[in-house]
Amino acid sequence: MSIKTVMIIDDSEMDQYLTNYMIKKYDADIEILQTYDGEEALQVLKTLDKQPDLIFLDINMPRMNGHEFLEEYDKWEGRAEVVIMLTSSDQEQDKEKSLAYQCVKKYCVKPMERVELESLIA
Amino acid sequence: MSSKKPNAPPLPKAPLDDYSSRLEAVLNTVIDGIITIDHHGNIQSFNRSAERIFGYRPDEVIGKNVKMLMPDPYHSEHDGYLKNYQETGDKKVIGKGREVEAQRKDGSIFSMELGVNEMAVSGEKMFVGTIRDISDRKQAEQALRDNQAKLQAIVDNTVDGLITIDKKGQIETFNRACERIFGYKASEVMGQNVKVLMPAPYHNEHDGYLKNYHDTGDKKIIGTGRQVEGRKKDGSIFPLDLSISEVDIKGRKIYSGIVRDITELQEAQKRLAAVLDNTVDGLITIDELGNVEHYNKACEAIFGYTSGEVIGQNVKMLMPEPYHGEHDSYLKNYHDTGVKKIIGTGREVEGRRKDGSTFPLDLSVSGVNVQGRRLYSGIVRDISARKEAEEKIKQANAELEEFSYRTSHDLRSPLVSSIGLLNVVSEAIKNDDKDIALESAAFVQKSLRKLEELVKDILQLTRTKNIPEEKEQVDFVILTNESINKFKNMDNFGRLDIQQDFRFLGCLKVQKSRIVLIIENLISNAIKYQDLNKNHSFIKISSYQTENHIVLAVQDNGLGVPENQQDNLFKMFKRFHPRTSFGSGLGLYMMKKSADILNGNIYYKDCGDGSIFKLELPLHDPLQG
Repeated sequence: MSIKTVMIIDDSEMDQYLTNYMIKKYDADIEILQTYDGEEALQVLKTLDKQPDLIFLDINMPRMNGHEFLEEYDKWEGRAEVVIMLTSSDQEQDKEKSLAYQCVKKYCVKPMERVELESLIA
Repeated sequence: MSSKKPNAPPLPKAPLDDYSSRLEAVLNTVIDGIITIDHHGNIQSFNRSAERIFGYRPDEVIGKNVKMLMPDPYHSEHDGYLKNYQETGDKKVIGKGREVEAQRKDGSIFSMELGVNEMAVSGEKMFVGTIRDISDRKQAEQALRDNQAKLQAIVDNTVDGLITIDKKGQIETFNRACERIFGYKASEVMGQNVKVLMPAPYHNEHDGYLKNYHDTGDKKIIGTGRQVEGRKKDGSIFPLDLSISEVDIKGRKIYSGIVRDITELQEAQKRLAAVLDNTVDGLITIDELGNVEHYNKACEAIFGYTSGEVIGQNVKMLMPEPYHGEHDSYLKNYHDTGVKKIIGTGREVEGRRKDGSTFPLDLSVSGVNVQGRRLYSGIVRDISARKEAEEKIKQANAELEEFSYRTSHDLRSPLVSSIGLLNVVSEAIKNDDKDIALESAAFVQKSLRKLEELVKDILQLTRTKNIPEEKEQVDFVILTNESINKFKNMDNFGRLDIQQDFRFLGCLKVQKSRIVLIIENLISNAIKYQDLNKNHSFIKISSYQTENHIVLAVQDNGLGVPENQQDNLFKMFKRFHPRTSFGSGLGLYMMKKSADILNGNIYYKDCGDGSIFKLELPLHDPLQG
C-alpha cells in the first residue's frame, strides 16, 4: 500500500522542514500535515475524514509531549495504523515506553537516514 | 614460835601449846606465804604457802639467808637493805607493800607482792614477810595490756578516722588517721569539744544536735552515714563522710564516729559528672520502670526540657506515639523474655521536644547493673540535620539527573537538525537549487542560535545556584527601566503598552544579579507572550509594601499559561507555547531558584485575560530612597 498522507508532529521548525523536504523529495504528491505539539495534533486529527497513513511523532514537545499524545491517541477507534517515533532521544526508557503503545511500529532516532525514510513510505 | 624436837613423843597438850598449835595451823592454811627472818636475814620460819610458792621445803631454807629466794638485783642488795635499815631506821619497804621479783627453787623468776613488818620477839628483832604470788595477775595484766596494744594498733592503723566523744561532745579518743585527716595531734584535741573540727553551720549547731538527741531519742545521723563538712587545723574545709554509733559502756554513753575524707572521691565524681554532662550526645539513664535517673546537659539542648523537669518522670514523656504508648510494654517484655530488641544495638526512632515537635533520633541503649539494681543507659543523638542534608542530597541528585536528561536532548536536538539541514544545503547546491540552499542555511543559523541561547542559559543556571553574592542597595524603579530599555529591540516591543505603578519607592539590600534576572525574565516573557490577536496588549509593572514584605508584580494580558500546566510552571525545561516559545524552558526555573536565594517567593496567578507574576521579598532593612 502506498502512503498518501503523512502527519509530522514535531515542535522543531527545522525538523519539520527537514522531514518535509525529505518526503517531498521522494514523492512530491504525498500530502503532509504539520502540527507542532500533541494537543494541536489531536485537534487536527479530530477534524479529518480519514486518518493519515503514517504519523511521525516526536517526543519532547511543549504543552503535550509525544507520550502524552499516544496515551490519548492509542485509544481512538479508527486511529492511524502506523506511528513512527522520530525523536532525538536515544534513551532506552523512552524507546521502551514508546513501543509499548500498540500503534507505534518503529522507533527512529534523528537524524533519519534517507534509506530508512524511504522504506517506511514505500 | 617454838621449834619441835624431831622424833620426840608428843607432849601432853598444855593450854599454851594449844594456842601455838592453833596459830601454827592458821599460819599453814593462809594462802599467802609467810616468811620470818632475823635481823641478819636468815630464815626463821617458812609456812606451807611459802613452800608452795617457792618450791622449797622448810628444811631447805630455814637457817639460810632469805636472799636465796631473790634474783638479782635484790639478791646482791638485800644485805645492804638490812644493814641500811639497821643503821638509819629508814623504812623503805617496811610497812608498805611492794612488787618485787622472786626466784623459785627451779630457778624460774616470778613477780610477787611483798609486805614486810617488823616485830620483836623476846628482845630480838625479826621481820615478817607476807608474800603473794602475783604471776597470774601479772599475766592477766600483761594479756590485757597486749590486747589493749593490739586494739590500739588496729585503731591507729585504720584508714578511716575514729573519734569517740562523750555525751557532752568532748573528744575521748582520736586515732592516727584522724590526726592525718584533721591535721591536729591527738593531744591537741583530747578533752576539747568535737565541734572544733566542724565548720559553720555544724559548729554552732552540734550542741543542739546532742541535746536534741538526749531529749527526744530521735536518731538523725546515728546508725546511718552522711556527708558533712569538716574543718582542718589550718582552717580549710573539706567534704567528709561520717557515720556514728552509740556505745554504752558500763552505763555511760559515748558516741563513736567513723570519718572519711571524701575530697578526692568528690573530685572524681565531679570530673565524671562534668564529662557526662558535657558530651555532645545526650545521655539518659532510666531504672527498670522507665523513670529517669540521670539526664545530662546535652539532653536539655536536644529535648528542650531541663533536667529538673525530667528526672523522676517516666522517660516516655520524651517520646511521640507510637513509642509513647508502647514503651512500658517494651520494658516489661524485656524483663519477662530477656529478648534484646534495641539493647546493644542502635536504632533510629523519634523523639519529642518540649514544644511538642518531633524529630528523628539515633538511639543506642545498654543495660547496666549498679549496686544490685538494673539500669538502662541511652545515648541519644538528634539527627534532624543529618536527615535534612540527606534529603537535600537526594533532591539535588534527582534534579541533576533530570537536568542531564533534558540537556542532552535539548543540546543535541538543534545540532542534529543542523547536520541534517547542511546535508540538504549541499545537495541543493549540487542540484543548483539556490532557494532551497538558502532556506536550509537560514534554518541552520536559527538552529545554532537557539543552541547558543540554551548554552548561555545553562551556564547562567549553574551560576545562579552556586556563587554567593554580596548584597547591595537596589532600586526597583531604576532596574525596571534598564530592563525595558534592554528589550526594546525585541519583536513586537513597540505595540506593547508598558505601564508602571511603583508604590514602594525605596531600596532593598539584596543580591543585585538575582533581582535583575527575575525582572528581565518577567518583562521579556511579557513581551514574548503577548496575545497578538488583541488590539491593546499591555504590561503593568507595580510594587507595594505589606507588613513583612515588598512585592513586585508584573501583569499582562498575554497568552497566559494553560490551566493544566500551571503546576509545572517553575520546573526545568518547561515551555508552554509551541511556535511562540523560543526560549530554553529554563527561564522560569531560574527565576524560582533566584527567588529562593533572595529568601523570597514567586507566584503565578491566572487572571483570566492574562497573567500576573508576583515576586515577594522579605522586608529586612529598606531604606527610603
